[in-house]
Amino acid sequence: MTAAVALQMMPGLLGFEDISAYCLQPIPDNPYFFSLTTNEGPSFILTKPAFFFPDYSAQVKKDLLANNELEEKGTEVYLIVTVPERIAEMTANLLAPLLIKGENGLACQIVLHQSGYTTRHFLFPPEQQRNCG
Amino acid sequence: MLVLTRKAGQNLVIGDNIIIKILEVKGDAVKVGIEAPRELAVNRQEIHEAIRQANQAAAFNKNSIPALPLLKK
Repeated sequence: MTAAVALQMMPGLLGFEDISAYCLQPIPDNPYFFSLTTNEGPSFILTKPAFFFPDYSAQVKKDLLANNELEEKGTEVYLIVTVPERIAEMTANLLAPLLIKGENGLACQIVLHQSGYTTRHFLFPPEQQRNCG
Repeated sequence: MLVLTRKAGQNLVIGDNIIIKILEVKGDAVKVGIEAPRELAVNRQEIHEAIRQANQAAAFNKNSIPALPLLKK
C-alpha cells in the first residue's frame, strides 16, 4: 500500500461508535507503521502483525475461518498500536485486530474470542526496549 | 429488565433475527449460544469494556501524531 485509502468502519470502533469515515495511509519513511485518521475525530497508529508478531496472522486466519468471518480474499489484518510516553513501551491490541479490505474500502474491528490475547502486547520485548525509540 | 427462566436446550428469541440458546448449565456457569446478524457484535461485557478502553487509549489528535521508532531489522 502506498497511497491513502478511504475506509468505512462498519460497525464503528468501540468507544467511537459514531465515526465511520477513516483514512488509512502509510507513514512516510517508516514501513512498519500506518496512520488511521478521521477528519474530526481520533487518529490511530496501526501496524501489521507480520512485523512484530510473526505467528499471529496464521492464528487469526484459523480463528476467522472457524467463525466464517473471512469470506473474501484480499482482507488484511492490522493492529491498533498504543504509543505511550516512553515510545519503546508501545503495545498492540492483539485481542481485537482490524480487518481491512482496501479494494472495497471496508474495515471492522473483530474480537478473537478464546485466543488468550489481550489488548496490550509489547511490540518490543522488555530486553529490547532500551535499544529503540 | 425482563427476567425469564429457561432450561438447558431452550431458547429465547429477540426481535426477528436473534436467537439465544441455553446450551448447558453446569454449577454456576451457563453455556450460551447466540445466533445474530453478522453486523451485531456479541462480546463478553468485560471484553467489550476492555476493547473500548484500549481504543480510547490508542486514540490521539491528528495534529499530534507521535514520533515512531525506525527499526533496525
